[in-house]
Amino acid sequence: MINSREVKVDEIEKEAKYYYDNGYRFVTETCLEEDGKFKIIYTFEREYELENFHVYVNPAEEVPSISKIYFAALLVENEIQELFGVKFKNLAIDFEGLLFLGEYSPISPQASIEIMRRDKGDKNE
Amino acid sequence: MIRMSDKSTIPFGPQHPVLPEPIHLKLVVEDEKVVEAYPSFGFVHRGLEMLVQKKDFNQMVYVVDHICGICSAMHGQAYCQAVEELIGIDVPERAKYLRVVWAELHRIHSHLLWFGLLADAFGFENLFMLSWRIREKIMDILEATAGNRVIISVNIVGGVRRDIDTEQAKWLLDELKEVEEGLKELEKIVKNNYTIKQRTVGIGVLSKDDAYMFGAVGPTLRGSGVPIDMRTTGYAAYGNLDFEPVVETDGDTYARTIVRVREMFQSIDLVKQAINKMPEGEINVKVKPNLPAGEVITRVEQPRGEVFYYIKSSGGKNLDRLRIRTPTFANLASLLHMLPGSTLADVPVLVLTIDPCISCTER
Repeated sequence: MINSREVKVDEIEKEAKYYYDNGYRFVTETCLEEDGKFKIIYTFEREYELENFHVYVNPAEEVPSISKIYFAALLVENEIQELFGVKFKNLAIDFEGLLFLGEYSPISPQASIEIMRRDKGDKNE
Repeated sequence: MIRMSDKSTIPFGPQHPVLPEPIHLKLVVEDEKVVEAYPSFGFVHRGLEMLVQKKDFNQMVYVVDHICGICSAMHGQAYCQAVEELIGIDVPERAKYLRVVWAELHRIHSHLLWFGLLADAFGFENLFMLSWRIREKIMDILEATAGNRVIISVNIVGGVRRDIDTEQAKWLLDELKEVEEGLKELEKIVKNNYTIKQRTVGIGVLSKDDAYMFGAVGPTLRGSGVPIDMRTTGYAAYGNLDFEPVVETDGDTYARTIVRVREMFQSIDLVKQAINKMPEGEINVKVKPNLPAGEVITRVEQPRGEVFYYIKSSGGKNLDRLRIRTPTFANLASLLHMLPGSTLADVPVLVLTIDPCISCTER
């Protein structure tokens, strides 16, 4: 079972900086969809002990990237952006949907929130 | 006078002679020097994580076994360990030792496969053939003990599905003696050959701090002097076996090569220890058909480094979410750091230095 504490979206960078300054290495970010929201779990490690925190993100909300603190987060954040449709801001490199997907790729089946939004004929599309 | 830019952009892959799997790098070069590198993947992405919604937790073992042909047993092991922790069952001791035996055999054949590919990348074809010839012995052992050479599917939730009897264990240890002799020959070449040193010493240097903070794992991390090896956490039967993480400190391609060579000897030793200490008894336990609710993270040391498995269940036969962070994905940030400043001729060696597994990354 995992221990994870919830933080607010605008606290992500401060939390990541805390782990960086205290010698934790970046392990990964895990994205889930729960009740129409994204849940992103951030995982760090020091001396084999894992530390996790998570945020809940509304579909239209932008998530601050931690890739300028932990460069290693760059790839997973681009992956989450492409496969789940979460928008990250201030990415160290924004592949703009071309890391895993191609220019003419269909929408990822994991991006179910976006798929449902399109199915409903959302005017914002 | 109009001066043309000194910068050119060169595509590397997705089809390239040194790459057994597709990855694309956009290399920005100034004369012969790489100044920027941008990766792209997705050419063989399979979306296997999503299958948890359609396959029950037992069927998913076979799905994760097929993520990779080189470390398939360790994918199955990591997944099964996660589900076993979620359910709260302790697998039989014998099964834990058997998992170590098959995992370490996988590590040896993975490192030998990588070694052959590296030799091929810098044009040392005889070394490529020697390496893969030794590897064949391991494939024969896998076939004899598990019934298949590549995807051996030995792990099940609750233990393993095959046993190794006394006679087969004795044969296995005899075969490993021959593998060990072959590895000694290989080690002699690695330590004394001019070509290998010219193409690897001082190439792709990754400092200890960079390796750690870029989240590198496995030989990429240990070749830079960081003694992190998930096996020391004691999962399966590793807690009862005597070993230390293999570490080199130079942080270059040669150091990573030496780590892998030394790890193959270590794996042989671990197989011997596991077989000698393996208790008699059951090899699996029955598992209830429904999962409890909960979340689990497990980590297993694959040949390329630590694999991270996250599972989430809200009860029933299916998991809600399976997330796999493969070692290659963790090592890509280090690769992107190593490429700028290198010469174009060293790019194939640098790509191979992290032992990339694209089929894992494209899970």
